[in-house]
Parts: sequence; C-alpha cells; structure tokens
Amino acid sequence: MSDTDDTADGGIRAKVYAWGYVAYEYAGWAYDAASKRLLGSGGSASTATDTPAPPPPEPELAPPEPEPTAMQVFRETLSPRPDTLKAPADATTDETQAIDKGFLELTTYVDDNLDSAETGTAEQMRDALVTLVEKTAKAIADRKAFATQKPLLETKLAKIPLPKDIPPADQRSFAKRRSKAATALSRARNLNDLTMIDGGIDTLADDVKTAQKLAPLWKEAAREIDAARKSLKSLRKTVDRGYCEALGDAIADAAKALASAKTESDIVKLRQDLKKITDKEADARSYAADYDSWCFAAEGFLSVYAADPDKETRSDARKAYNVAIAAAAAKTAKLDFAAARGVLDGFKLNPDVTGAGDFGGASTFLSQLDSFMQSHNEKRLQVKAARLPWSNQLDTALSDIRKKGIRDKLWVDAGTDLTDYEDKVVKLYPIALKHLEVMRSKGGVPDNAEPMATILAAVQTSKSALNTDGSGDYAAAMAPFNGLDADIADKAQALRRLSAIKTRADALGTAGLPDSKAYIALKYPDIVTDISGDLPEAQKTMTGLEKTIDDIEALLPVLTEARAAKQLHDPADAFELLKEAEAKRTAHQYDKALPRAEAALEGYGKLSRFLHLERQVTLVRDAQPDPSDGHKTAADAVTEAGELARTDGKIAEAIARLETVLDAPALAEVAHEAGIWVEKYDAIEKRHLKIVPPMEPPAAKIRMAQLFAAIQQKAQTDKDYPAAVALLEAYAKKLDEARDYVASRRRALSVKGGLDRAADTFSAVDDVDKKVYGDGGKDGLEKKVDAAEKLAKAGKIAEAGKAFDKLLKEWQPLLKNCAILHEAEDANGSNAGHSIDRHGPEVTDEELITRVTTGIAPDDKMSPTKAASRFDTYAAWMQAREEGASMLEDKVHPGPPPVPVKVTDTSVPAAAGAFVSMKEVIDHGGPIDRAMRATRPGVSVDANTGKIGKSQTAETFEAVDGITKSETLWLFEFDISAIKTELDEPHGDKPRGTGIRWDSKPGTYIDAYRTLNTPPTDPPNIPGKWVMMQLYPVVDKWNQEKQEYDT
Amino acid sequence: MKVNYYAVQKYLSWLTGGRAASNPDTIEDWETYEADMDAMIDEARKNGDEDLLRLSIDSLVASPEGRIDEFAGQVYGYSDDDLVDLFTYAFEYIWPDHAMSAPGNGPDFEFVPMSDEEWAARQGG
Repeated sequence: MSDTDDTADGGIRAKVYAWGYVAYEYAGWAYDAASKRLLGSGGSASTATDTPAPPPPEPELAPPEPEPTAMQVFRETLSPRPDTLKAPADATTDETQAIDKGFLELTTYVDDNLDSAETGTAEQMRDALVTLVEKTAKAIADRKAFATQKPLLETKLAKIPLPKDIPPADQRSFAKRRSKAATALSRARNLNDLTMIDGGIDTLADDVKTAQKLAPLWKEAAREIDAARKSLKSLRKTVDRGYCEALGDAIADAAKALASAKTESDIVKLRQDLKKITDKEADARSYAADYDSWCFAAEGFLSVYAADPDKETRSDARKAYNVAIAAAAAKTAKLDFAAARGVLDGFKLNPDVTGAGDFGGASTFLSQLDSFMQSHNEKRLQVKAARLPWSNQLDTALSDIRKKGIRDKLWVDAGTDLTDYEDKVVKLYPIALKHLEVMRSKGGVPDNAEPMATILAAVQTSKSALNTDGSGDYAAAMAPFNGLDADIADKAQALRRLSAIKTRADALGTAGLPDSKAYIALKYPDIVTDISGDLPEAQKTMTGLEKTIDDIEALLPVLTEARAAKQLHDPADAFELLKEAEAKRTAHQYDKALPRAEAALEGYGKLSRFLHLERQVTLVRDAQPDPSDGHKTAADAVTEAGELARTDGKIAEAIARLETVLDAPALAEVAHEAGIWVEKYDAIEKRHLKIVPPMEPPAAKIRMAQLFAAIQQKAQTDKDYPAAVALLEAYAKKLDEARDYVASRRRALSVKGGLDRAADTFSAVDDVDKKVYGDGGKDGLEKKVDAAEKLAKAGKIAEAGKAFDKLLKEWQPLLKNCAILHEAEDANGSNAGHSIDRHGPEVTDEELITRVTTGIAPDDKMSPTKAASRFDTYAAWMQAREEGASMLEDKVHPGPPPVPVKVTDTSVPAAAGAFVSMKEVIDHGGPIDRAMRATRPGVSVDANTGKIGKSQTAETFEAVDGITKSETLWLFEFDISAIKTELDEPHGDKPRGTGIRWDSKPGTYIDAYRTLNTPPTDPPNIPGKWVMMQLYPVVDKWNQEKQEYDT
Repeated sequence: MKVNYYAVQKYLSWLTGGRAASNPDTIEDWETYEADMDAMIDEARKNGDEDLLRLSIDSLVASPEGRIDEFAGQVYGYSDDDLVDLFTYAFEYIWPDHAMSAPGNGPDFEFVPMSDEEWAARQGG
C-alpha cells in the first residue's frame, strides 16, 4: 500500500491508521513511518531501524465505524504473529531469514491491499509460509535425529563382528560390506541417508549372524571332509577300489556342496551324505580282509593252473578273475559288501575256473598258508631270530612247503607239512623268546662274566635239546632257563633292563638330544658294577634313569616341534620363546622343561599370527592418509602391539590389539586386502628366491628382478594391494616361464656335455661325430646353443627357453644314438644297461601299468616294483645320465693320496676302501617323466619257485607326472678273471665252500689276489669298469596334487 | 618321535636299490647285499647317523606293518616280508653285538618326510 495508490477518503484512512496504531501498539509492533512498513516484534526480519515510530496522525473526527474489509479481517489474523508463521526454535539463520522474509512479503501484500475484499492471494501466501515453517520444523527434527542416530549406527556397525572360520570369499565379502557401510556412514548428510544405511547394516548384521551360526558347522564339515580325504589316502592301501571310489566321490560331492552351502540344512545334509559312506569303513575293512584272502587263493590258483600265455594275452580263468574283481568293486562302490562277497564266491564255479584246475585244493592250501602267515609269522620270525638249530633252515623249510603245493600241486601233502611246520613254530616260540632274552642281555658285561657265563651256558644246553629240522625235546630246551638260579636270572634281567635303557637313550641321541644320551650314559658303569655287587642299588639307579628317560621322551616331541616352529617363525630367536625350555633341558631338568616347551610351542603358533597381523596392520597404516583417523588407529595399534609382544612378551594381547584394527569397519576392506597381499607375497617371494637369483646367465634375471621390484613398489609405495596382488598372480606365470627356462637351459647344457662325453667315449665308433653332433658337427651344434644363450642374455627368457627346447627336440635322434651306445657299453659283460629298456621314452603307459600290476618289465623280464617310471624324452634321460656321471667324477678314492674318479677308469686303487659305488638322487629342476605308482598292493605267486609276493605287485595304481628327480647308481664292475681260480662258484672255479666267496668288495679282490702268489703280493690295482647300473625317475613321496615332493 | 624319512631312506636305498638289488639272479640272497651294507654304513658313519640307521632298522623290523613298504624303493618290488628279512640280515651283519627289539617294542620312530632344514632344526641345529 502506498500513498500514491490512496485515492480514497482521507478520513477513513485516518481511522484505519488510528485503529492500526492501537492494534500495533497493543501487539507490541511498530510502524516505520519512513517506509510506511510494519515492524514485527523485535524487528528481527524487517527493515527495522532504531527510529521510534512516529505518533499516529491525529484523528479529525470520529466517523462512524465502517465495516472492515476482508483483507482487514485477514490482517487481524496476522497480529499478533502466529507461531505457525514464526521460525521454530533451533532454526538456522538461513531458515529464520527465509521465514521472516516470507512473513514480511505476506504482511506487505496485506497492507497494500487492505481495502480488498479478496484475500485469496494472501491466504495462499500465508499457507505457503505455514508449509515452510512446518518443513523447517521437520528439518530441524531430522537434524536432531541425524545427530543422535549417526553415532548409534556407527556403534551398531562396529559391533558387527568380522566372522572368522568361514570361507575366504565370504570373509572378503563381509570385509568389503563393512567398509562400504563405514564409508557411506561417513558420507551421510541427512536422516534419509541414514535410513538407507541402517537397512544395509541390519542386513549385514543378519548375514554375519547367519555366517557365525554356520561357521562352526562349516568348520566341522570342512574338518570332516579333510579327515575323510586323509583317511582315503591310507585306505587306498588297504581296502578295495570300489569303496575308495565311493568315498572319493562322496568327498568330492561334499566339498562341492560345502562351497555352495548357504544354510544350516545344506551343511547338515552334506555331512550326513558323507557320513553314510564313512560309516561303512569298518565294513570295507572287514571285506578287504576277506578280499585279500580270496585274491591270495585266486592268484595262486591262476599262477599254477591258468598262467597267461604271454604278456599281452590273458588266460580264460584270468579273464574270469578280472571280471569278478571288477564286478565285486562295482558292488562295493555301492556299499553292497554282501553282494561283492557273493561275486567272489561265484568265481570258483565259473566254468573257465573249474575247467582249468583244482581250485578247491589250491585255495584250501593257500588259505591255510595265508592264515598261518597272518597268525604265526611273527612267532616264526622270532624263532628265526633266536638262532636256534632250526633257525637258518626256517625259510627254506617254508619255501619247500610252498613249492610242494604251488609248484608240484601236492596240495594235501603241502597242507600237512604246513601243519607240522606251524606246530614246530608254536612250540619253539617260547624257547626262542628265552634265547632272545639272553641275546638282549649281552653287551653289559663280558660273556665270560656272571651272569652271562651261566645264561650263555643255558643257551647251549637248550640248543643241544633241539634238532636242525625243528624237532627236539622242547621241555628239555626250556628247562635250563627255568632252572636258573634266581640271582643269575635277576642279574640277567637287570642287564636286559640296562640294554633297553641304552636303546632308549640312543634314540634320544638321534633325535637331537645327544647331551641327554651322554648324561644317561654316565650312569652305565656304576649300574654294571652294581649288577654284580649291589643289585638293588642297580635297580634303583635304573628306576631313576627310566624316570628321567620317561621325562625326556615326554619332552622330546614337544621340544622338537617347538624347535621346528622356531626355525619357521623366529629363526633369529628374537623372541627367545624356547630359551627357558632349552635351559632347563641343558640342566637336565626335563620335567621342568616340558611345560616351558609346551608354552613355547603355543607361543610360536601365536607368534606366527602376530607377525602376520603386524605386517597386515602396518600395511593398513601405510595405506591411510597421514594424518587421518585410520592412520592413527593402525599406527597406534602397531606401536602398542609391538611393545606388548617384544617388550612385555604378551603376544596374545598384542594379537588382540592388532585385531581391533581388523575389526574397525572403516579399515576392514583394506585390512583384508593387505592380508591377502601378505599371504600371496610370501608364497611368490619364496618361489622367486628359489628360481630367479640363481638364474644364469646373470643378464637373464634382470627383467624378472625388475618385475618383482615393480610389484613390491605397487604395494609399498602405491599402497594399492589389490593391484599388487593382481601383479603377483601375473608374476607367478612369469615364474613358471623362468622355471621352465632354467630347466630347459640346464637340460640343454647338460645334454651338450653328455654329447661331448659320448664323442670322447666312443671315438673309435665309425662316424661318431655325425652320430653324436649331427650333420653340422660340433661347431654347428655349439652355434645353436650360443644363439639360445644370446636370447637369455638379452633377458628374453621365454624365447630362450623355447629355443633350448627346440634344440633338445632337434637333438632327439642324436641323443637316442648316444643313449644306445652308452647302454650297449654298460651291458657289455654286465647286467647293467637296461635303463632305456625299462625307463626310456619309448616305454608306453601300458607297459608301465603291466610292470606295476604284474611285475613284468617292458623288457619282458620279471621285475616287480611299486612304481614304474619312464623318462619322457631322450634329452631327460641323457641329462640325468650326464649329471650323474659328473657327480661321479667329483668323487675320489680315499688316499693317501686321494685319487680322482673318472667314468672311463678301467681300474681302481688296490685298497679296501676304494670308491666303487655311487648312489645319488638328483633334482633336475624340471619335469622329467611320468609314472604309474602302486596304491593298493596286490598278490603275486610264482608257480616255479612257490614264492608268494604279497604286496610285490599292485592291484590299483595311480598315474603321476611332473617328477623332477632321478636316482642313479654307478658301480665299478670288477674284472675278476685274474682271481677266478681262487673264488667259489658261481663266480669262480672252486666248488662252493672251498674257495673265497666273491662279494664285490675291493678287500676280497685283494685277499684273493694275494693267494695267487707265494709270498703273497698285492695287486697293482683292481681292474674293471664303471657302469651306470640304475637310472630312473624317483616317484617316492611325489605329491601329484602339489607337483612337488612331500616335505 | 619324528624322524626324517628321507634321511633314513637315503641309507636304506643302498639295500633296496644298490648293487645286489640290481642283480636279478641273486635278488633274494641277502648275503650278496653285504657290499651294499658296507656302503650304507660307511655313508651313515660319515654323516654321524649310525645310531639313527641302527634304531630305524630296529624300529621298522619291530613294527613293519604299514610302513616298512615305504622303504621298498623302485628297483624291485620287495614284499614286506622280504624287507623285514633283508633289514634284519643287515642289522645282524653290521651290528652283531646288538640285539634287535622284540616285535612291537622297537624305538618309537615315526618316519616323516621333511626338509633337511626342518630335520636340522628339530635336532637343535
């Protein structure tokens, strides 16, 4: 409203002003005369000034009260200013200003239109202002709620544990979700943000709760699967293949189900499924015992009546046998052991079996033999060990019985003889034990001193009552021992006791406690003296020693484990966890050393965790901006934990302190990534150190070293652990290339050395250079080697490796030439030279399987083995041969003066200690072959000799490859032609027992040579030649899954 | 107590993979193994392992079940009984004055594959 707008009657206006003045004054409002604007109480949002309001205009007359306009009426609703149009308490300045501005606009509009009968616009303005006030009030409430709820949510998130003992992928997922929630919380600006985050935290908490509930179940299921897996490994040697197949499948299914298990019922079900199979282990073992007996009888029958016509052809009965065992295995795979037994029982009724021979006779005898061996073999061995008159005939007698049955098919007679044999063994067994007791009493005192003199005389008397065929007066043989004077018997017993103490003490010496052995040994002389003079005192001393040994034996396993743990986790002994235990041990306070060693062992377990965590949290610290809360949290934890562990020795507390960082939601993800980095880095660094630093030529390793340094930098400088882990994974492949390069180069250079050696050794052979070096001759071959080496020097190791591989392939025909020349030379006058035939690259998988399952070697000779292996290439074979030859040439014949060994030597020094054999295992650093390895022993029966080879052959086997070691045996084969006249048959001319028995010892050669002349003269040397007798890839303890040897 | 499998196998392989094991004509004539037994004990003595070898053989022969076959090597498929016989012969040849333990009462050795470093550490090295 303005003056210019006012065209109406001034009287009315004056009245209104008067009314307004009163009203304003009443309401505590003011009037700004200059601007003609109303001022709110306090004038907060108006253009108020300090100028006092002017006096209202003087009323001229008191005109009649007019009817107020609608706007005037509306105006009255604004005075006093209602709360609904005021800025709420706690409104921000901006909010207050906005509301006051709105009110001012409203009142200005109203004042300007007081005459108006239309208030619609004013009402809209008022309503809008009310809405603004309401929104402001809500915003204020939201702000207050936000301020209250955010820390509550932070606490809520922090309280959610990071579950352990769950699958690594789940753990990582939880870590990421925790960090994501923490980041979102830190970025939240309003209640709405919090509401969304709250939902996420609740879901996370629920998921963690579920995971925690599942964790023990998951852990238990994983443990059961692992136990079943380990059990299967040993069961493969014992039970039949059907059950192993069922168990193997069940384990695989359980592992798969566990990996995808989401609920408790998933885990319960997979455990139940696995248990259904593992619960049948006892049945499987029982069946296996029956199966073994059946195999024994069946194999015996087949070898006697239905031998295979040749290596490739199976007899009809053998085919029936193979069908039966496959059918039985199919039944046991379904855990139907009764049906499997039925299949085995049915074998004897098969027409191919009944038509072949007397299965009943054979199986009865063989079952009797099997039963005897299982029940009485231990007694038999004791009788044999007791050196009774029959002892050295015991094996021959049993062999004769076997021959009578298996070779001569006199089943009934053989059975009768076996019964008689068993009877003698059983009767001689207690006598043998007495004799063995005497033997175990020896060593403490001279044989001619008491009590030995008396008890040895008893032994002789006992022996005189027995015959060399096992018969005799058993009571008379026992009588000398029963009739021993009590004092003598007690003293003899004391000597045995002492002997047992010595054995136990010696064992302690071998296990790393030589000073304990020496400490115990100090008492031996006194004990021996006391056994003669003061037996009770001797017994007392021995009781004390036995207690000491008990203590040491209790300590030993803990101490050695702790020592191994120390080597692994604290080789510099910075934490000195084992110091106290070792000190007590050194002081021979073994009982006191034990708890300390136990504590140390536990401590090393914690130390391992602490050191890992310390690295992990240090990386977390380094990844945080400095300064920042995260940096401080991690840095404080590292410092405090370090002090706790290193200064206070409180490793558990240090671990707990570091774990608080892992539990901090904001750091959870980076901590997890740092943990993965630490684990992966350690594994890759170990491989790196093994492969890269020794790489030759030096230039070849530069690129690898640079790559590895870049990875370290990515982690240490950039703190980008996920990226560093990705680089590590890529580097692992580079390491594979480097390993292959190293192996290829070593093989190529070794083989090149082998070619040079062959050219030298076989220089008399026609065209030897062409045979050994090919058309390009030695120079051409060397140029190719140089070209590959040049690539290596340029750091192109993958290319260099391929170049060496290519050379090795090119050389195959040459290497085969050389291998054949070597083998022929070795075989000349020797039974050496069979390595290529049995282990050469041309041996097939089928031949390996035949050898391991039947004992028939690829060269058609009977040579059973637990593992049949072959070199995959002539290059691998030549490498192994050459490296063995080089090792041999590192040896010397002991002097004085020492004489170096040469592979081409045709004599060795005439000395008893001359070096005449070398057996070495060589790791070639790369794969050399594949093999078939026995998993379950089978039975073989030799129909000609009656020899029963239980476990000589394999019923089941596994294929392995990637093997890196070879075993080689080099022997000096003596030329005994000069001394033949002095030697016994079969090596010499003299009837057995009349000359010198040849035993391949240099000393025996010298002795025989001396008898040739009178006076005796020593030979100038011992003639002969070196041969490579054995060369084969080593399968023993090869871990196919890990592709390395077990350690 | 845990004993390094490889440390023992290295010696015993003289018996199962040596000169006599390589001669199929006399493979089960233990007397022909004496030169290999000499080589075996020479090497063990050189390494200070005579007691280890003696007690290992004693332990294996006293309790062969399920473990002596681990030492059969690859040259010949010795049965468990063969190995008991062969090792017993070697024991009596090398240590005639020592009696072997009664069955089941041998040294309590557990043959475990381990690295040379671990074996040395366990021995306090």
